[in-house]
Amino acid sequence: MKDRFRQSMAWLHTWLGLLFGWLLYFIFITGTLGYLDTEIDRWMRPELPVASYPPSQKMAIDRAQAFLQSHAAHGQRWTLTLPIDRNEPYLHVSWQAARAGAPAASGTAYLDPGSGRQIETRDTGGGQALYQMHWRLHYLPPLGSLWIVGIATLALLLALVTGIVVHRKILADFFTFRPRKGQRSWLDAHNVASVVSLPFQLMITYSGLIFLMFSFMPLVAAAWYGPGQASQDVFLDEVFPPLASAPAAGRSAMLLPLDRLWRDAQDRWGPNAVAALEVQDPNDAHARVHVIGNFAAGPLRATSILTYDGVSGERLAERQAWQSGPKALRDAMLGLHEGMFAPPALRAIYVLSGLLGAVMIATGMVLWCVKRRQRAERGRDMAHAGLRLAERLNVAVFIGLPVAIGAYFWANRLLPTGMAHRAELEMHALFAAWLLMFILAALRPALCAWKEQAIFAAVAFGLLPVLNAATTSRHLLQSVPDADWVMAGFDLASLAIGAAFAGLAWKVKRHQARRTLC
Amino acid sequence: MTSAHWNVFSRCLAAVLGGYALASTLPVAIVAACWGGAARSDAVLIAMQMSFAVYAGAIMWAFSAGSARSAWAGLGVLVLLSSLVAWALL
Amino acid sequence: MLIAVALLSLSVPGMAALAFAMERHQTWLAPRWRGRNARLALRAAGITLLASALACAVVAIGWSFGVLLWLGLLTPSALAIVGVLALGQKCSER
Repeated sequence: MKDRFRQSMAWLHTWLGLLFGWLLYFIFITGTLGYLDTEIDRWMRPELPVASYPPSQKMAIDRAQAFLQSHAAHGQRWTLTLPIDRNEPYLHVSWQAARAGAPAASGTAYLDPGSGRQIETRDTGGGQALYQMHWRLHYLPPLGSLWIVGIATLALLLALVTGIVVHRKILADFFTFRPRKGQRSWLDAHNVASVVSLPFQLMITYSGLIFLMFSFMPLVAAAWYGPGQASQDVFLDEVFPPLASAPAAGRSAMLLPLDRLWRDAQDRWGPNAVAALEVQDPNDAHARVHVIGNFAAGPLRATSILTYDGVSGERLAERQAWQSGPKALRDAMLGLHEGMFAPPALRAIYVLSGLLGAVMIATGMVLWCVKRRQRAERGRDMAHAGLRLAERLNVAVFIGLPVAIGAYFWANRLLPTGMAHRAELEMHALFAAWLLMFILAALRPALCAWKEQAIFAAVAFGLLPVLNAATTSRHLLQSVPDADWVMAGFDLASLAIGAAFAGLAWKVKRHQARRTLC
Repeated sequence: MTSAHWNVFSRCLAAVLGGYALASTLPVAIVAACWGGAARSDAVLIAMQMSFAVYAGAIMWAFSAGSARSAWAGLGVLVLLSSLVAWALL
Repeated sequence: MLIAVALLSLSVPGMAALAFAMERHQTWLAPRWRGRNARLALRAAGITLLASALACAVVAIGWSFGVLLWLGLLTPSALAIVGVLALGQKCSER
């Protein structure tokens, strides 16, 4: 009985892996990059100076308000993001055009907090664009991506649970990795990567589903609120109470100095607690200012928000971070998933765990192919088209995606800074390189493709610091003395990644020597 | 299509559709029964967060049940019971 | 950062102790550390070391960050021991 249960769960585990493995690898890699999003952002905008976190944000707010007043006095909405920690290391403003104005009047800018002048940076999606593909994918309508990613996440949850069920000797095998034993080694690697990071994998998967729960389980809300979209809106308004908004009056009125409101919020919340200010209908008689606390202060992804009247300064509403146990549970799951609160040591563990998740998937897929290939060579099964497809997809995704990401970084340095649609072109470069990897994987024998694409990855990442030196002044010889650790760290990590892929290529070559194919 | 293929196809349908139905009804029944006094929004939040565990369990049942018929039967009975409980309590 | 190093200095030996408490890996140890009593002692030592790491974490940085950091550090600790054992096996096969 138990054996048949195990058998059916093993079947399910294998099928879920085959159907969703490659997509989940993409999700894991882009998600792991998300834990380093602002660091990647900064490397891709070398024009920005070394980040500094001023003890008082008053000057930053004054300068930002002056800038916005001169550039977008009658916009619909202003956002001022203050440089308080690694999640937003620079003073950053954005504005939405006036309702009657052209959409082109919206924009964003990085500002120097001392002088208030804009720092001109190249148009790039940065690390944010990479990370957002984690749930939005690319080139697909948002709703479509949501469903695809959501279904893949549910599949991952099932794969994890069935994997635990199937792993007969989960404790006895806990520290076991036997290298150079072919299929056995791949299974060991798959088991070690999964079990050693199991708490993270379960957390990241279930919390990922919770991110999407409003869209995926509307019937649950309908049970208490009734059917229809209007009922869903009532439910959402109860979970996220609206903040004393008011439609624009159409009459002009002077917006008071925002640092007064900032100071009031700080008095209530404590030092360095304000992360951003949002102004709705600035310079209007019904202007509203939302002062937003730090979402990343702790594992709970929630913060208090204070709403003020933008003209009189009167405090109108406060939404507390804590609203109820169930909401706090949701906020905790989202906070753990995003890891924005994580200090450097914990952040490093997040990155390690994300990479282990990618290794878990890759070793699983390779194991399946190695098993089937061995069976085919012993004459027991035909090497069917599905096996050949899987072998090619393995290399094109597991090595090809890193190559494509390397191409994205190369495009960031090589495309002229004044070019139109630069940010989109960088993304096109990523996918063009990836498409090339798919084509090469289709044309070459599988093992050769592994070696070649590993070499591409080694070159793409290994030479990136050199490219950086050739195209900007923020290369390693400059960033290390300047204590620009984000810049230096990226270059050094790039070298390490290049070396790792070179090592992989060498290992494949040694394995190949016995088979003499290319 | 062979009978083995029908078996798999039927179980897949049971898993996806039956599982979704169970994930949308069983948590509602449980929360209505155990947290009857909670505020509406909190009840929905608890039930939604529970629903994915139910969905996963339902899918595992669909593929491990003795036959495709018992997969559907098991899910169907639970969905019916949950709906009755939920309707009675809400 | 310092906390992480301190915790690792407890959790890595803890994982090592747990690993060597397993029959499969006992072959690495001198004969006096083998056998049922030694294995129980090693397992107890391993659990104690891991528990101390958790206690240190909670005392140093509070419950929420402490538990998270401890849980997170279990992963590289276990991985390190896997690596050492695998390297050892490769060397002994040469």
